[in-house]
Amino acid sequence: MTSALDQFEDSLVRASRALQREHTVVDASPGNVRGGGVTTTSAPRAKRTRTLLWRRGRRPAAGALLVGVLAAAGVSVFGPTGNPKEIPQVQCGARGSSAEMTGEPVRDCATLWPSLYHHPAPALVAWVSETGGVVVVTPAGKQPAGSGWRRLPSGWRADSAVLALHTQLEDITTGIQARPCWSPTAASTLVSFILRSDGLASWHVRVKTERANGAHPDCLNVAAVTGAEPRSVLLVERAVQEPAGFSPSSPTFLPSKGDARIALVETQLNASLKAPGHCASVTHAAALWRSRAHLEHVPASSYVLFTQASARYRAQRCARVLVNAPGGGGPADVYAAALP
Amino acid sequence: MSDRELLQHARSGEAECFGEFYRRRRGAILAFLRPRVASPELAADLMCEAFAAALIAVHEHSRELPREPLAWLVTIARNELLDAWRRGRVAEDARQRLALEPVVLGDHDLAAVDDAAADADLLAQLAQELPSDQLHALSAHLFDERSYPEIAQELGCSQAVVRKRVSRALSTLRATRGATP
Repeated sequence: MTSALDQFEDSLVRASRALQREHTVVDASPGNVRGGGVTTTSAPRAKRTRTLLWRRGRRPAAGALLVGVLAAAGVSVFGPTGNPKEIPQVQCGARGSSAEMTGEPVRDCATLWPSLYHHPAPALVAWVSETGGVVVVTPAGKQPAGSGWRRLPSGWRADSAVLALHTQLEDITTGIQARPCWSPTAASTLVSFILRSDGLASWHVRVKTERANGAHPDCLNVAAVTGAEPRSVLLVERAVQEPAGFSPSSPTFLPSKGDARIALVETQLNASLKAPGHCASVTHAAALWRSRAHLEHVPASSYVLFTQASARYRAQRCARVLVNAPGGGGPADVYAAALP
Repeated sequence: MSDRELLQHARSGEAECFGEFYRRRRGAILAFLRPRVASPELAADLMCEAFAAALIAVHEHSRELPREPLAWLVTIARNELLDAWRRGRVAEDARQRLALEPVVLGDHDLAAVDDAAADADLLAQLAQELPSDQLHALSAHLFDERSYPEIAQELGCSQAVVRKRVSRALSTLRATRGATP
């Protein structure tokens, strides 16, 4: 008897044949500008100030640095004419956090607030920076530090596809898909693929090469910054010293010892969570994570705990814990949640 | 033929090689996914999307093929899982791009998914019973299929130490399971 999973193999084989016929190769030739395509330009060797590595908006300082450095470099993230819908990150309060559930910053931050600050969410308002690029949600009556903030109307929504895109770009840059080395072609191809997958086919990918002394020519980090121009993703290559132990073709991210310890806690905790007759709530799973992490000497500063990925999971039972370790020394995202 | 060779042949037009890759690694991906989701149907759904995404990537000719396809595939599956957590649904982008029909699972398929989960239970049990250094060495060698020299380099110890850790871990496995593989 042929099972459905066996039949899926046949489907994959047929699809592979079809793809072979298609020969859909992304055109990465220099100077080619078109929807979903890739353009490549070179920058002078000394210009490295635009090299940015942004992470999911957990830390408002990172967002401010991003905007500030780009401004100092003469580059506006979105510019005064930029589309405010192209908001790459939403930060909740002073500590900040990614809020990409519904695209409505106030609503999403209200959901995450108890996880971040350990008390119920107060009345919240959303602010967008004058240069665009980041939305900060604060308690009503307060304003983000600094000047140039404009209050967004109640119910304002960002483009959820763009928020999702930024999460995916972060995964490439510092997250689960991060590599010690990226070639411009590989990164461009991957980002182009992501844009198509997110329904953003009219967007462009632009690559700016920035070589530095002492770097392996094929071993480059890629910093992704969106919004440098409308509907575009700018990949700024940051040349680095070749990491010890890696070849330019190393395909996978190897976690640090700290990340490995967190992964071990994840495995151990989930093993106990799925023991027969054991069905923990999301809240209980989060509490278990905290205590287990403490026992395993995982410092609280090394992770950020989210007690649900989405409000809809609150009613679900039998929670699990999932860790997304970004690498590079940054804190891991820990999700305590249950899938429907 | 290695996983990487299978992917290389698939890219060059031998479509059946990707079928072989799927057949060979389907169980590992289900073993990875099943303990992390609530139902075998959901695990199978994520697994199918992960393989579809991998197939698309294999045919992106300008993209370098992974040196360690299993680790790469697990990464894709994990990303699909994270996306499902974030979005509240399993993505279908890759399968839609490939115009793949939905997979309707029967009892036989659900049993197969749970069989794979049983292996994951074993790994989880090991994680509780093994010292972290042994677990790390064992998973790196068996699951990630990395060589002893690579593991030794990462852990900063000799190959002999790595082999000893793997050997001790396997001994614990045999004792725990009461079987002699």
